[in-house]
Amino acid sequence: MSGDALAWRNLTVCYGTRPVVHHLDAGVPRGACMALVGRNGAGKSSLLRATVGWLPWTTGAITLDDVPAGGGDPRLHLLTQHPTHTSAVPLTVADVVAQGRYRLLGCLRGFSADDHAACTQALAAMALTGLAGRPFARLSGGQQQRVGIARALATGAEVLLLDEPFAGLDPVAAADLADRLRRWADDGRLVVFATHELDLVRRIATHALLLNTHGVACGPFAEVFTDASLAAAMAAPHVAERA
Amino acid sequence: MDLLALDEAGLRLLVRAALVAVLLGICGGLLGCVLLARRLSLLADALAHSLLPGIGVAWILCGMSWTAILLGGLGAGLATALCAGLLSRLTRLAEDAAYAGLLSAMLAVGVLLISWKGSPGDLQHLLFGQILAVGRADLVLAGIATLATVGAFTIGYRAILLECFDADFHRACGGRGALVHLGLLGLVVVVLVTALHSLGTLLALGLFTLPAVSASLWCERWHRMLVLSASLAAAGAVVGMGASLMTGAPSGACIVTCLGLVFAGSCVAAPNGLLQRGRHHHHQREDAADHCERSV
Repeated sequence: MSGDALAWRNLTVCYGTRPVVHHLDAGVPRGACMALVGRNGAGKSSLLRATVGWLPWTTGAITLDDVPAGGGDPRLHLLTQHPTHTSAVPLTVADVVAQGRYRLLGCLRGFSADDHAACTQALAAMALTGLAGRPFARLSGGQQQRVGIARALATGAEVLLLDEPFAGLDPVAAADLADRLRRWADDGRLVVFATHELDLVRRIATHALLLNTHGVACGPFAEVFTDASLAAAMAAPHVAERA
Repeated sequence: MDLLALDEAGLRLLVRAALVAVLLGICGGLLGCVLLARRLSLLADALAHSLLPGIGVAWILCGMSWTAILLGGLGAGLATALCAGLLSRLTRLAEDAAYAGLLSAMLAVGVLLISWKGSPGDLQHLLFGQILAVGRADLVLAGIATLATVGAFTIGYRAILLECFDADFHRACGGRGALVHLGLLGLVVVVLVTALHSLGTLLALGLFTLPAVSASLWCERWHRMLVLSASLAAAGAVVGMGASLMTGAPSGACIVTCLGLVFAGSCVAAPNGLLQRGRHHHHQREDAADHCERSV
């Protein structure tokens, strides 16, 4: 598809000999807020993990702006479904968001004015400015989720991939987070999020990729998010042999 | 012991022992924070026990040669860390379960080996240490271990912090978590081996766990926790050694008892300790009661 910033071409990802993403051809342009929809085990998380190079793929390619992606590409950032952070490390909210700049700064380089500005903007974008000095461990789950996204914003990544970002949030917090993701995409970046919250998908998605191991449909939301394609995405597993 | 009656050689020995204790304290205090953050505090325990078979083999082959004993301990410790890492990745065992299994087996084999060749007094020396028996080589070794540890925490501060706080984010940033993890375990083994002569394998553990858990009760920032933990461990090492000299009690036990007292005090008085938490909950209950009364 021409104009796609992020593209998966004939992508197959396997666990052992079992394909979890099967010959997927899909793409999404910059500025899109793409929902990744499918039943449990449809390959959503595996696709996101393969996109950032955490899972190897058997066939095909993943490109960002026609350049091969994956393998720790700094242009992409994945927020996983189950946060792995620990409360045993005492940090403030500002400390956690500042971690987003570590990759750019390397081991020893200090924070410049631009780095501080990026952190301040990320905190403001997630409405966390007032909580900057609070201990991270004492925040609610929803607030910690927002800090994680602020930290991802601070990395300067062009593409934000989120695996079940609304899991565990109450409806108000989930809607608020969804609106913020949409605004971030509207600023010209690219957001891809996997979710089962179809109401929130309808609320913010500009594009959708419906997945059932193979790609069911991919494109602008209004065109592909139909009852028929949704039924196909939620249907019984598509059994496939290894590519 | 009358300190005023010490001659120059005795004072030199005392200063050397104090320096070794302080250096080991700094290393243990820093590494203990990492083990605490990664919920691997018992890992140091397992690693300490795992040194014994290596020490036993070195003893049987080379006699009471400290160089051989240190190398034997180092080899056994690194082999255990590697084995546990491999077992957790290649089998269904979690890393702590792999260490738990290795701990018991290694300790038993180590005690058998040492008992076979040596006397109970030798075993006691290895388990509990004798800080006034440290030589110049121990001081050099402690200096190298401290340089390596402080250097790693200075250069790798960000990588260590990310790996401890959020391993997935570290990975997402292109970090090499396994390298950081193995590097830190390697440092733990080196420090445990360095502490063998002065504190013994078992009591050296106190330098890792007690300052770190005490500091975690006082601090809300990671870098402050690291500094406080290292400082507590160094101060505890000096005070404990002083107590050992005064009373004639085993030095390792005195040092760890001092750190234990700091821990007990922290549990009670620290901002995250019993008194403050109790006061906080009391205020919360009062606020709730006021709110109920106003509602009525």
